[in-house]
Amino acid sequence: MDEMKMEREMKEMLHRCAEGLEAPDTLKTRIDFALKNGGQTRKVRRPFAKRLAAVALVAAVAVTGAVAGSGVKGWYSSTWLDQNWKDFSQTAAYVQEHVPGAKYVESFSNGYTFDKGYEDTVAKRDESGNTLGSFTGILLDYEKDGAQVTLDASPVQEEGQYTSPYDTVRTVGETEVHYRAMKGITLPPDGSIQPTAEEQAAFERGEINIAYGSSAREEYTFYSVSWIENDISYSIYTMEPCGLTEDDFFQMAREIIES
Amino acid sequence: MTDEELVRRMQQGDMQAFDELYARYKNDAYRVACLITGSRADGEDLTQEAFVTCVQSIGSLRDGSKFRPWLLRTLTRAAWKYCRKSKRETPVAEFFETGEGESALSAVLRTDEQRRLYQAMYALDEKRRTVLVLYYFDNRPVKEIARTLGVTEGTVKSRLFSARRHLRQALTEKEGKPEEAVTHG
Repeated sequence: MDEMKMEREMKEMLHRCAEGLEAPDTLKTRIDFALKNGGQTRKVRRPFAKRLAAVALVAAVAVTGAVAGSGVKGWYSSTWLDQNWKDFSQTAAYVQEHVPGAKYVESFSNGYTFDKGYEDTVAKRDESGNTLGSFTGILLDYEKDGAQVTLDASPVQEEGQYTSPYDTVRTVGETEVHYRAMKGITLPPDGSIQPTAEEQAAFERGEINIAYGSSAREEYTFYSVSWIENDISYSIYTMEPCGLTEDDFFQMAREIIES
Repeated sequence: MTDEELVRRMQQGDMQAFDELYARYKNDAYRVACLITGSRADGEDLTQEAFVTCVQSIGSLRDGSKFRPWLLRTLTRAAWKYCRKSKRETPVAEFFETGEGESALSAVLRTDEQRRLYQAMYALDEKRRTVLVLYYFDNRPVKEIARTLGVTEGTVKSRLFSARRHLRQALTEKEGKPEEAVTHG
């Protein structure tokens, strides 16, 4: 191949590779989020676009009614790109090392099976955005026919409020398990869209959840079952239950507790 | 509104000006980042990092009309660091063997020559690969690439020369497996 032809092929090759490559809409949200949080470029990758909202959502639920005087205004969750595993045994080894005693299963009896595991770091910040501390938990994704639920296990935090008066409560063995189907909204992190006064009041009453991390206002229902066992807080959650009922959630909790 | 005016507004704290600059250059930056790394995933991370860095250090940009080359310079520096540190350059051969859908930019390539060029390009070190991307994809002249990368025109020409030689070798080898690229300069 002569020089000119090679150059033509090179140009064409690169342009073909770039065809259809457009910066995803979520990228601007990630940038705004990083800037809002002191410019830390946490690597929240595409599969995490939804996770960002989901994890922020869990955090917001947890701090509702935070202990007075703790100084903690919010929990800011982020998931590291290079701390995830597709291999269950690798995830299990990580869990044993970093969240000792945490329970988990490789699959549930309803067919949801382990897909990926992630480290989840949560920073505690005060009203001015100063980091007061942090803790690390793990997230395990389970999938069945394209539907996904996530198991979150992390050490219990003093200021955390882990239950809501609107929960349905059952006892599994000696453990109190809480189920909730909570409506919520996700808003852009730059403050360009604010919750209404009514929504803010409902949030303060623990009736709805407000999370930040989307590019536009989004409404959803968050389904979760949660419990505390041996100073570890667990929750199994999804925003798309795909047929999972309240009983199914309690059964999945039972399988973890009894594992 | 010109880049210069938008940069001036950014320097005065107007983040709407950043939104405008982002909209203007997000795809350019994203495509260059994907082509340097060979991966959409890494390209997205690097584009994020470059824009965040630009916002944080906008005060140091004296000539606002040079925002685009400044952004690309920030991006390429981040890409080099990223490639060296995490060794994320997945060998192209693996894309074909494993069918790694998400990152396989090469999936659209139809001819054998283009596939071999692609493989040869990703066997190069990141600095030569960056020069190829800016020259053949971004259509930048040597002088502008030199300014963007903060090196002399001679260095850009040297990198182009050795990259082309490597590509030629790859095309003439029957097996299509390029020899190990030299990593200096």
